[in-house]
Amino acid sequence: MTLAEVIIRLVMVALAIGLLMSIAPLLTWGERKWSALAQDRVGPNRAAIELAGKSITLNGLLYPLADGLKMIFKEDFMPTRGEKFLHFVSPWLAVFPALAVVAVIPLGARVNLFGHEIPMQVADLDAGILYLFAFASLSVYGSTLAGWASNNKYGLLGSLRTSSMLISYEVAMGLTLVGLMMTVGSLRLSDIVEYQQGTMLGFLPRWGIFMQPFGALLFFVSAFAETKRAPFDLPEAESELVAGYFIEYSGMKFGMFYLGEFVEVVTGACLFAVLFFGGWQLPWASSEAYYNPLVVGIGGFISTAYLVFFVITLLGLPLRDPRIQFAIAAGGFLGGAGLALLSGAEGLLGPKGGVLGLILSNGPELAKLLMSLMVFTMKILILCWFHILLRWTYPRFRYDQVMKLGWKMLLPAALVNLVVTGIVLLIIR
Amino acid sequence: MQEVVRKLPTSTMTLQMGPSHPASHGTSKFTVELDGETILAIDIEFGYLHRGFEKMCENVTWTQVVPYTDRLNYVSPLINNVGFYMAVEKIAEVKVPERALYIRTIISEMSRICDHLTCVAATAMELGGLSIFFYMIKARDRIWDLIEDITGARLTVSYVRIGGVMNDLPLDFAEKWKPVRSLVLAMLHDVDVMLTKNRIFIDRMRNTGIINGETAMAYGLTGPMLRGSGVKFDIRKASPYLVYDRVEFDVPVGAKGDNFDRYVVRMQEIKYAVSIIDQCLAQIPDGPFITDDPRLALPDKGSVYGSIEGTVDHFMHIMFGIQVPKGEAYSYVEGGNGELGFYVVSDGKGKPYRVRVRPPCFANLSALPTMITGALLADLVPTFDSINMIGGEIDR
Repeated sequence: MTLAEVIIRLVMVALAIGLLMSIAPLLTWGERKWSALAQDRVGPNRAAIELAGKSITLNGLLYPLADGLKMIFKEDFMPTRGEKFLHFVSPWLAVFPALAVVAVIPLGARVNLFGHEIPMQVADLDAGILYLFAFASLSVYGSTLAGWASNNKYGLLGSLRTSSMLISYEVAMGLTLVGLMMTVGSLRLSDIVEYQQGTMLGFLPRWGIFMQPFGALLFFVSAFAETKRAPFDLPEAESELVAGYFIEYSGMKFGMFYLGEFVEVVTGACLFAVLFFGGWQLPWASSEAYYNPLVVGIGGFISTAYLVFFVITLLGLPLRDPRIQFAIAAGGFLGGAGLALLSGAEGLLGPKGGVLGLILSNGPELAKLLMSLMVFTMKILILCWFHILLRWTYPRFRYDQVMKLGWKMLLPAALVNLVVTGIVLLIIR
Repeated sequence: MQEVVRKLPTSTMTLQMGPSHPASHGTSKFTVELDGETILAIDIEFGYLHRGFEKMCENVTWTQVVPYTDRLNYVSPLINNVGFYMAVEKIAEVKVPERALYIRTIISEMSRICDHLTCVAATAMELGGLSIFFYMIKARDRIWDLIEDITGARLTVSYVRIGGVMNDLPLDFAEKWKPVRSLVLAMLHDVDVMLTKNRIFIDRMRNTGIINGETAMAYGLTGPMLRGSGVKFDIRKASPYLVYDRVEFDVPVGAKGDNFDRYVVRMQEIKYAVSIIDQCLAQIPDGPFITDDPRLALPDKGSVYGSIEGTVDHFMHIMFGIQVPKGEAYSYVEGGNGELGFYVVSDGKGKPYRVRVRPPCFANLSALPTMITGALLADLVPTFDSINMIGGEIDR
């Protein structure tokens, strides 16, 4: 491994963790905003910084910061009769696997920059999906040991529920993906994304969700259950188990469980986007389309405008204000024009020397990189939003009902999906 | 030969839930004997909110009792007001003006809506549907706005007086009622869509906390709990008081007596309560809102400052209270949770000699062990919620 490769890998680790750790805390804010919208109330507007006699709230954007500060400075409570070492270690066991999953996720298109091939993922494993399952299984330990080590009856009940629920849903989750593996013929996640380009049946984007609609639904349900959030939040079932497995946790240790949950939401969204929404692929288009300045321009316009719109709605600015509308349009235009220029400038101007020439010659690849990252982020955000919308809509299952759903419905359905996929593939090929 | 199959040594687990636990609104404590998650036995302990309501009543004048009744079932305080003074009026044989009867019916039904809204909202919330809680509480808040318009307070209303009510309805009450009415109905529709056909909700509520009609009657259950078990008993129909014989409404009943039936009964009763208020507003006559008997009603301020009789009346009222004649009476109304009874004894000395409350929750809660034994721990939550135990009422 050359030095350049090592540096590329390190940058990728930083990028992956950075993406996760910036979206996850922002999601705590997003959840507050979206739940407030769903529940017809004002939402977060209290956390503020006093500056020169003005209080700046940023429409609740300071909440993640306030959360972090509060949790760090709170007393770290440890039950006297608990198992001290395991009590200390289990929050880490809860967060680490959730973070590790992101290593195999292709965040953007593989590009060739400045003479180096850069895969936009930390590790392009040929058994990527198996790695995912392995780390998903590891996350059981954190919550199970947490409840047990706390020496608390509520905690024990919560951790028993967690372990049985997570293990059951892993089985279903694994089986739901077999159909997709058969279709694509690879366990490598970058292959799966590459496969999902272009169209199928002439009019549908060849995305996992259209190739395996049933599998996508089943995977979504089981991945939802893996995050342990409502309607699958029975391990912490507030009304009966008070807080479930993390009942004896406070301060930043509690914060890690809390953060781990949100990280799981984000990684769940990443996985779903990669497996069923074409990852960084544009709908209908092939991955070569990223070299077309026109496509990149239009795509850049849409995604930049969407991101600006996203930030504006979350900041609570009035959409009817013409200045705001202008800002959205201008943002989109700047983003689109910039990307199109980056992508097509060399074709227009011809080869140039010096630094400018270096940038221009790498322009199409750079544009592809930025565009694919943006597309992927958009997909994640939409999926996270959908996840949170469901979380605030449905009531919670009962323990035995969740088990019934997992073993008696999802598992047979996944098997049926497998058989049907096999038959269809046999006929087509 | 060695025994191959050997049973694992297991033991049951005793779990203390409460008195400060998310499921035990108000304050009550469950000692649950668990085998895994199955409830083998449950022991309910309440009394953490005990204030001595009955004893306190013996030391104040008849008028001063009314703030105490507010704090019985604090979710529907107006019904408590009405119930208590109906018992007093029975002893004193007071003729209550027509308009006051209608006003009392209207406020009772508004309280009933609040009560059922709170109950269903809390059930939904504790099953994890927090959004539904917010929708229903928003509707309840609008009703509280109306109650504030009428009584001047949102929760501790103290509105009813012997022989009538404290003051008349606001002039624009009918207009103000209209938007609230449509909000309540729209919210009911929303919640209906979100819950009644929701698979998760049905699974949680159906076939949990079952009590059949016979057992329900044996335990002395009343209100939505009894009606949920299929017994068509509603005091408003069985022995009409106020003007309930002049309005049309139906008594919804369930079939199985499970949590879902009780939920449906409550949702239906909200609709009927809205219709009762509509009918009352259409029928309500003009006239005095409190009896003109100077021994019972406070004189208006004009006569207090303008005439010697008024001044004397006022003085007597304030210093000695209303003189209720010797006697005793039991009066009962249909409260939010069932039969709310007041047994009042007067010795003619200006203060209650003895007040006894029959809180509906007390009997209702006593049936909980029968309903929950053998079920899962998670079923305790909706079952306990559908009983709608109110700490203030049960601990009086």
